[in-house]
Amino acid sequence: MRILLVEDELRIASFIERGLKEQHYIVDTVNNGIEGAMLAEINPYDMLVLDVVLPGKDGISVCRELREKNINVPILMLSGKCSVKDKVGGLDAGADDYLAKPFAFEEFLARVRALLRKNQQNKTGRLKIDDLELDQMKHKVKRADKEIALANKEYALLEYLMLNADKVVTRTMIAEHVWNEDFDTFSNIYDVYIHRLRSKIDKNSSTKLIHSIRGVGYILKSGENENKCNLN
Amino acid sequence: MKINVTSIKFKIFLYTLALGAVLIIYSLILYLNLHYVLFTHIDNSLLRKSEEIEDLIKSYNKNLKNERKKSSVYIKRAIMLEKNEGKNHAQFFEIDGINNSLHDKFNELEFHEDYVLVFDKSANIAAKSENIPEDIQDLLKKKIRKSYFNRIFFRSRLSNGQWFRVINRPVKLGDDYLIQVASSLEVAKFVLNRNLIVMGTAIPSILLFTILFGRFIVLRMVKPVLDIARTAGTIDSKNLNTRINNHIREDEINSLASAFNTMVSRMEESFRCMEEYSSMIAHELKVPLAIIRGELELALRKKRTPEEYNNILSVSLEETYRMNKTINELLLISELENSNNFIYKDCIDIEPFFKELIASAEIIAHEKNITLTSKIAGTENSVSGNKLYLRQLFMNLIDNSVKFTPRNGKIKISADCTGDTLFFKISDTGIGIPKENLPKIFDKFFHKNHSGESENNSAGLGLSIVKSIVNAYHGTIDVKSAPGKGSVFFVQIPLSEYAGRKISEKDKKLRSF
Repeated sequence: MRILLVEDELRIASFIERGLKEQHYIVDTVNNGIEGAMLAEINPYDMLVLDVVLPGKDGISVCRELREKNINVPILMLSGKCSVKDKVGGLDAGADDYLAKPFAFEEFLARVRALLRKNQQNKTGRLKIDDLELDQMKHKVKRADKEIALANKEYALLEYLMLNADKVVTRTMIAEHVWNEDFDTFSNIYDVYIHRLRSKIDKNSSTKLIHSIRGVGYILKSGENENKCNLN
Repeated sequence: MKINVTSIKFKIFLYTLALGAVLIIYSLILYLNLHYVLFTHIDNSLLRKSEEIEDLIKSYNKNLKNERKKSSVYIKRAIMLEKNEGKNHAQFFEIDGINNSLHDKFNELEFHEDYVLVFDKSANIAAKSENIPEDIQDLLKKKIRKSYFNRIFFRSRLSNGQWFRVINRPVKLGDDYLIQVASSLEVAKFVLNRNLIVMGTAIPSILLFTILFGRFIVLRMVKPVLDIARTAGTIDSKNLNTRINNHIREDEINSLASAFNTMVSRMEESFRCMEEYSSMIAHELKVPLAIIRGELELALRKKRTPEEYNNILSVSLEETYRMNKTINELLLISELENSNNFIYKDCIDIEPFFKELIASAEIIAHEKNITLTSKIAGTENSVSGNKLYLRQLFMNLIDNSVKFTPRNGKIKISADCTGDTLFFKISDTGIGIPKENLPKIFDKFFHKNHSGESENNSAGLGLSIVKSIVNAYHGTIDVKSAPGKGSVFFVQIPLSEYAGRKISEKDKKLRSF
């Protein structure tokens, strides 16, 4: 899950970024509105965290502009202003949620999760394919009721594959949703991580869930019924 | 109905009462004057008539010199002439000529409504005019006293419901006689009564009209005032856009309403400014708070390494410094805006003051490898001022220049204290200020957002403090800037050496109390 954070206060951006990364999210951070609008347009982010008071272009304008360009990424607006008028202004500009600073970090994370679930059919926060389970809140992964310890990136990759279960996930998609801006898309790092995931998830099981599709990418699908999309 | 003694309505009622009293007194004076005029007129005519009768009798008597002893008889006869005419005419034939003339004279006197009576010494009727009714004759005859024979006086008498004015006139003619002439007061009484009736109805009518009309006028006058009061009573911080409808009339109340509306507009504007200002203050204070809260909450989510804890604590501590700085700056601004008691409290020696200032400036300029040159004139002078304020003023300008000047840039400072004005000029090779932002740079919280600068940690109060200090000293500040080339700030502060010292001493005295 890749999130764009647009926040000009470097220290606020810093702790939000660290907090989100701890939750296995992939975060790009910029500190002005113009850059933020540009990145949001180029990359298919799963979500935007947008400050209202920004140099260059304020959050409200960025939000309105993106919506006018039909970019429907969920937007969580952050602001030091907490009057009803400000909140209404933000939401009417096209934001999905509005959070006043200072905020409780727990609440912020919960709202991020809620917005990320927005376009999913499954809103329980738990993904399940065959005997593979992933808890999005606790960040725990189980295969046949046995807990599997995953590194940050491995978790993010598995979550992405499971959210797109039974669909082919290309390298580009992985690059866009699991790695951030700083990363070189043409490296073979994805193969390395897929290999690590396979060894942790599929190695001790008779049914293999992760499959490679040569020249295209990968697919995670149920071993019993290849056509069935079992998300619960 | 409860009476409010201070209300305008009640005051108008009092004025009406006063008007009533004035009217009554005025009418009373008119009435008494009329009474006096009428009675004087009647009395004068009675006096004249009685005089004529006396003259008549005396002249008649004169013609009878030779029979002086019998004069009283002749008088009686003379007056009763008409009555006795025919009966004893033969006895008086020798004075027929005189009789005739007397008769004529009596006729000339025209006693139409007047009654004449002549009494002798023992209060018997010696003679009377023939038109006199019995009752009046009896009335007048009844009360003759000795004293009546000594002086002339007037009396008003009532007989059968009719008033008479009676003159009492003693005549010495050998014997004492008394002439009484009575005249009817009917006309005078009628005029006076009529007058009384007119006054009696006119005064209450006028008062009633005054009260009703006054009340009407007052209600009309007071109603818009009450409307204004009602509107004013409903206005609070939430509905400051309320205005009084003042397009109805063009009078003094209308100008009151206009003044009130203007006042509310000004209040609305200053409320809006205050709201904006406090929302900005809140925002500035919330940012460090958000950082501290976020860092701490994040830290508590799981166990961290000592280095991480260390980082979190130092960031949080720095943010508390920042909050403190913002609060102090805000307090300084409000102190400068609300009182300037302390602006001349120190004696500042120019040389050490600027030496110290330039030394501090060099430290911060050095960090960005900025070349700083300075030229100070009039260093031997001393001026009165507040060291802290002036230092803050120049440091903020220097800070500002350093902040917006890229690495390896140049900053030039020049100051001149030789005259009675302190000139300070600072020019830099910084990023400059766009023309549209020039009028706004001294506004509170005019932010880095507008300058594109994002690395500084200030609340955007630096130049606003500069402006406040310059204003406190009644100085001026100007800025010229070309984007991409740099900015120049000019400061002029009047610092009269001697006047300043005087104020300074006065200041000290004041503060020693």
